[in-house]
Amino acid sequence: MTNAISMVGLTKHYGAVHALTDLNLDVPSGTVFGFLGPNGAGKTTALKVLAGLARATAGTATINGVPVSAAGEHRRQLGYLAQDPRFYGWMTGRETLRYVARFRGTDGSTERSIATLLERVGIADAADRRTSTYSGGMRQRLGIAQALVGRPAVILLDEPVSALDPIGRKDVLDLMRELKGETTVFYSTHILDDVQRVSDHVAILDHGRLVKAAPTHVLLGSFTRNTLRVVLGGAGEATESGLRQLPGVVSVAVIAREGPTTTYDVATREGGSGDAQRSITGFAVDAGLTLISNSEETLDLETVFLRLIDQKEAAA
Amino acid sequence: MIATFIALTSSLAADGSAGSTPHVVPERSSGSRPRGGGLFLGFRTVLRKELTEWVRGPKAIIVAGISVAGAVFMTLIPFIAEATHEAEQAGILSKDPTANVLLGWTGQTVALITVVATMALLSSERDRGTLGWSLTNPVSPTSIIAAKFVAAILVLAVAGVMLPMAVSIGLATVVYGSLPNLAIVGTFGVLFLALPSFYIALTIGLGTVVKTTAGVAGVAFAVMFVPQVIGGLVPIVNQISPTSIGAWAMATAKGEAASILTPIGWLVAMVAIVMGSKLVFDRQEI
Repeated sequence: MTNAISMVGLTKHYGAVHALTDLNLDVPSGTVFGFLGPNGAGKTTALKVLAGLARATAGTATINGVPVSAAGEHRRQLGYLAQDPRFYGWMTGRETLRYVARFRGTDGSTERSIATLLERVGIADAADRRTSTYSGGMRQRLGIAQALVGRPAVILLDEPVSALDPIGRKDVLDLMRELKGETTVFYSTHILDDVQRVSDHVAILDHGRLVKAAPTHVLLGSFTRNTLRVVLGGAGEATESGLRQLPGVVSVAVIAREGPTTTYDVATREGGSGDAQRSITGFAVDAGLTLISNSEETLDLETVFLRLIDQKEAAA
Repeated sequence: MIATFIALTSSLAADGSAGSTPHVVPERSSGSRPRGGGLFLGFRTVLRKELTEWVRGPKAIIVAGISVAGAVFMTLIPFIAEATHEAEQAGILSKDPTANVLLGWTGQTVALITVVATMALLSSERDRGTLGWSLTNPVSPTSIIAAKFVAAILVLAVAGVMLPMAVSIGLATVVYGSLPNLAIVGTFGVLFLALPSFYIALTIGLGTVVKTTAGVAGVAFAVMFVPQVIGGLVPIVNQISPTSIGAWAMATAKGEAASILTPIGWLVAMVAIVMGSKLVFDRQEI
């Protein structure tokens, strides 16, 4: 798989503030890539450097193979949505997209494409109104539409859903999901649930440094591998030791007891989850227990994110 | 020039010819790229936008209104003086139509109008955030400032020089009974464009360095008046100052003696401003 974006040793200092430090990151083509981090982590700085709005102190970056430079050639390859998008108030939404289309050389069938984009982002009704009359949410939608004009190879979105209401947020996330495979979407956010819903790759940034980058399922799996979440009804004191003696089980920890229901985290040996699950099912039947759940543990991205940040801080 | 204006600005406002067709994937841009690249990447698109902004906003009309009103007044001064029996007896006011068409152009009116009309070209875009947005498109920083310069000089040439001069010529012909010398007036009109060109370059150049509109205006007004003050004491300053290019244009058009130092000073200043602006703006972070 080729890389749509490649960052090598990307560093950006504002005086004594180290906004980005030695960022090495590849974004595979056709993916929806979530760029996560707490406020001030350097996400917006990285996106601005990629867009050519800020100059890297050191390091290089390419967009679809074209080096990022102040001259702006690489911007033929990308669409960009700023965190707080601003447009010419005297232009209508349609004219704004027309303006961007001219830059990207899509004059041929522009009007049809523009009408489609306005529909897709849900502002077709306001297309011929001046953008000075648009609300924050409408500007955000127009910002997404203008980033998509000409369907550039890479779309950079800085907090694309932060100003949207729940319906708008869902629409935009659906749109991002639709774009998967069509183009590469590289977006920053601190809404972890959104990343989990639409991103197939994730990078986590903290204090300007890359903490982790991986496919989303791999990242989530790396924290839950070889662990089963077992919920039993009618379990007693002896159940824990009984589970521990089963084939493939390494350790057992009680997570919660609620009335007759007890929840266990069962650690298994490498590659032994299947065997352990079968033996636990047999154990429950033999012991006359009600097996409510016996599945691999799943963590949400928020938990993984917090664990990674904690690990980094502990290491520091 | 007016035809270029209309052609460039009309297409931005062109109505969509096709209706909406949901779920059609927009075409990828790599198929047909905009013409031009490198240093002037995206220039035509920004120029079209700039001209449209001038035409749609009130500034071009205000420039034309003030310039025409000023030209009418200056052309009619001898006529008004005669009608009010002021100054006529002193015989100081000529009724030569050419002299009266050119009468008002040696002052600082055009310079003032130019500075006021262009002092916010960069700073307002920076404040509104649209400069940063424009620069996320395939456009070079040079194209942005070059397009702003070209659009402004086109508008100032039409609304601030050509239109009032045409009105003045018509009025002088009617009031003073003969057509002005069009060779002199035309030569002056062309050479005089150097003056608004200098002030436009100056305000745009200052806009790359000074972040506020008030700051741009303050420095531009200082450039306008300080050489005059110093020139009163040291005459050569007047000769080499680019702000004297209007007086030089007048003298040249009339075939009078004019210092060669003035156009040289103007050229040096223009090159310095253009190169300086480019160097600063290319390196600027938005």
